[in-house]
Amino acid sequence: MGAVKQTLSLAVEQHARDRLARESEAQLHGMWVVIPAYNEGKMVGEVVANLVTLGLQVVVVDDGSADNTQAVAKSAGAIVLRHVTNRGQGAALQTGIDFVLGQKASVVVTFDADGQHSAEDIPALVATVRDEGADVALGSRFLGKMHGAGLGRTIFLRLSTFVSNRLSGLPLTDSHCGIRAISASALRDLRITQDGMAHASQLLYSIARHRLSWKEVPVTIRYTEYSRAKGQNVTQSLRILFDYFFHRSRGGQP
Amino acid sequence: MIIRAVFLVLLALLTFYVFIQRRRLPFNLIVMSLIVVAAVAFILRPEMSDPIANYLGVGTGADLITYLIQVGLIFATVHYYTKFSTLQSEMTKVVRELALLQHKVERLTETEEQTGVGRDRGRAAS
Repeated sequence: MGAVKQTLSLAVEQHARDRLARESEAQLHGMWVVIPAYNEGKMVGEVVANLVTLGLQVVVVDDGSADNTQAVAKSAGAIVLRHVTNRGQGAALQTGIDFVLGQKASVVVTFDADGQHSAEDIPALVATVRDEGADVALGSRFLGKMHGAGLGRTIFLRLSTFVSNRLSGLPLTDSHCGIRAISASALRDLRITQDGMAHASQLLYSIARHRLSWKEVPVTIRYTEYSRAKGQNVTQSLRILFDYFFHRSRGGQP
Repeated sequence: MIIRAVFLVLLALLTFYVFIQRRRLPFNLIVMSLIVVAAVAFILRPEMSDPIANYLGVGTGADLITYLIQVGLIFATVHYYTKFSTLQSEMTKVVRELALLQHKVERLTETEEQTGVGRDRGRAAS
């Protein structure tokens, strides 16, 4: 009798496990994380491993790195696409997007390689797109939390959000957060042609232009010395503004 | 006088270079010819440019030519920057295509190695 009981309870457990696996598979189906990476060998392995552990499908676009980014990302469990030469973060993102759309992705999450984003924020972002029906879910560190940012960076980020909102016409709390979830159908309208860092502003402009629905989702950003060194400064943002307007003056979407 | 000779020789070389580019449009060639004729005239008789400069309200002919060159340089810079950025985006497309193709090839090769399909392909060809 004891043996039967044990077998039964084992079967029940197994059934529950299978069900969980099936549910999470259904939930994760068609969900892809795209990570542009340029010389991120130090961090990208940990970032990818975290995401893969959660059962996410990850594609890293190695943007012509001179270090071991490609090998590290691959051994951590990501699919790696490699640009033979450095083309910029915007270009790398679009390459990753092209790839996952070819894999019949339904929701695409963009994620940074430097470890400043938290994988735990992904479910809320994806749910905003999948369950609430938003075309785009934009991460906002000002609605969520920001660790390790000094006053200078906070002011700089607020200022760039102010400028970006004037350009795009969207009233955002955080305009340049790299973690977002975008539906596949929206991605067909949001083609990134800004190869450099101006792609973030281009994305927002295109969202407004195509009247896509969007929602900001609180996220947590952790700045480390490593990610701070990789971040943008004032001179670079002037360059980004130049790219934005130059592209726009040529009749392209900025 | 030496400077005139130097300018004329440079101009002649430039003209030769422009005219051997056969793909240029006739319109471009006409404009280029006019510029060359004017340049030769101004090199040989610099004072000829003074009345034009006076008429336009610029001090001397030499000033007028300097201004024209500056405007020309700005146009050229903008023109080539535009071309450069078009080339940049073309290059991105190529790099992207290559990245996607490379991945496809890698995956095919892996499948072939696993299944043994196509194992004899190299041998058959050789």
